[in-house]
Amino acid sequence: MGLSSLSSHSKIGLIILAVLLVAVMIALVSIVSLLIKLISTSRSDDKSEDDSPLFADVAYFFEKGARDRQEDALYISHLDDYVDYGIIACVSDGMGGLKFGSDISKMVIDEVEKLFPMNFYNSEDNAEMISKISNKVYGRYSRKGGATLVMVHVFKNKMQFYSVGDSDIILIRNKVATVINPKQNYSKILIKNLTLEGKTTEEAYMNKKGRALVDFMGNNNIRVNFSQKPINLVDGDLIIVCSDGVTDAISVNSIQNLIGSNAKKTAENIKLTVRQKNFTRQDNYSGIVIQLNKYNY
Amino acid sequence: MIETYSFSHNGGLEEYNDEVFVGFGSFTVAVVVNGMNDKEMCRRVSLAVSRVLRTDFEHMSFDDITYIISKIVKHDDEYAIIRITDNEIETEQHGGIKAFIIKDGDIKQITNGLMKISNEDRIICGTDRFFKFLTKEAILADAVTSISAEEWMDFLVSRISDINMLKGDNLSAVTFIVRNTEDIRIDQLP
Repeated sequence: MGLSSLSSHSKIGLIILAVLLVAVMIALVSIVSLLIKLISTSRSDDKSEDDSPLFADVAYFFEKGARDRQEDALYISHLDDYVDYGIIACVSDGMGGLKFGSDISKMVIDEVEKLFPMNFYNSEDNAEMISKISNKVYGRYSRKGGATLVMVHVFKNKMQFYSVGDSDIILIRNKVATVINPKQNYSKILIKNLTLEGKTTEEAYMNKKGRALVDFMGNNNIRVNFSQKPINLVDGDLIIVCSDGVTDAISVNSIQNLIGSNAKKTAENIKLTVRQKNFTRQDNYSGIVIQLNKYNY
Repeated sequence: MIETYSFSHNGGLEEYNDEVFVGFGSFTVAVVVNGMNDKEMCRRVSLAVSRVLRTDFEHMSFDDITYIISKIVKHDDEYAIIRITDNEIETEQHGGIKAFIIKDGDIKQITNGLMKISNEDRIICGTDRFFKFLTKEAILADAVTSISAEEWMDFLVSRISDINMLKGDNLSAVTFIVRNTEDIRIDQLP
């Protein structure tokens, strides 16, 4: 049946239908282009948010354990300086059993505080300054005591870290905890020697001197382990800077189960978990928790 | 210049069935073979690699090297070939061999093909059993903390040792650090 054979009413009906179809098509094209525009705008917004500094939520705990005295010391730089200079979080653990453990950890922290603000990108110079602090301690105490040092510097979504001895810097990312600083224990030397001989490494862990520190704050001309380049931080990262009183009581693998909704709750969870273990020989346990988020909750 | 350190350990087993080959010249070529479940495969790949390294491989393209090896190995053999210069890296990985690059504060898994690299980039290639107990964050942190390819490997091996005392499986890996020669200064003596 041709168009000419239709009645005039039918022809008008067809024309209206065609107009309606065109209108619907135009509306659809407009909606799709609007959606595309919205998505691209939201993507560019995301990018600008990614570039903006992560919010740093910081809390700490500082506990004596079963020891007679607190030999840990800690330092957190002013949070007001975060945007300009970043945050420095440092823990020093005085070597137990030695006469000046607590004096030395306090001295280390006092001297670290004097270094603020540090040049974030020149970690080699900062490590050198930490080494000089150790020489100063050596000059005063002549190896009659010592302390560890762990320190992180968080700035513009990046982190530098510094370590002397065997305290811990733990990075929790995607609910997986990793100790990121190498330890300066005698066992590490034994492990190296055993692997060079192609042996397994049980001996390194059975050796009574295995946990002895091969370097510490208070020794002369120490090796400071430090990040030569900063590592990038991402939304949700959590950093724990702590003395080994924490990691001797709680395994690193289980520490991610203690993450709370903010740094204060996480610090509280860690503190209470160690306390509840009720170990008779519990070492001092202190730590700083830095929780990094895109949004300030 | 490419600084390199390779690690091979039997992991407390009677035999070491993996292989790690490193050849030096105007570029560095490394091959890691996962021979744990197939000793014959390891021998086959080793034969192919030895054949390449005995030749004048410096004048061979990456395609030439992989072609010679592919003629001898089987499709499902587990191995990785890496060719590195100061500016680029080419890799071909088969099966459970992985490679990672540490660049600008991040760690990324390297996929097969060509990639630009620059001074101080760090690369690691190893068997899946080597990486089994290592988080990406551990590999990254040890890379930025270590002062040499050997020390980076030592840090990683120490982590594996802390978990299993190096008992269980063969362990094989190789670390690389790009050191641009322009950055090396030689002071002239008077």
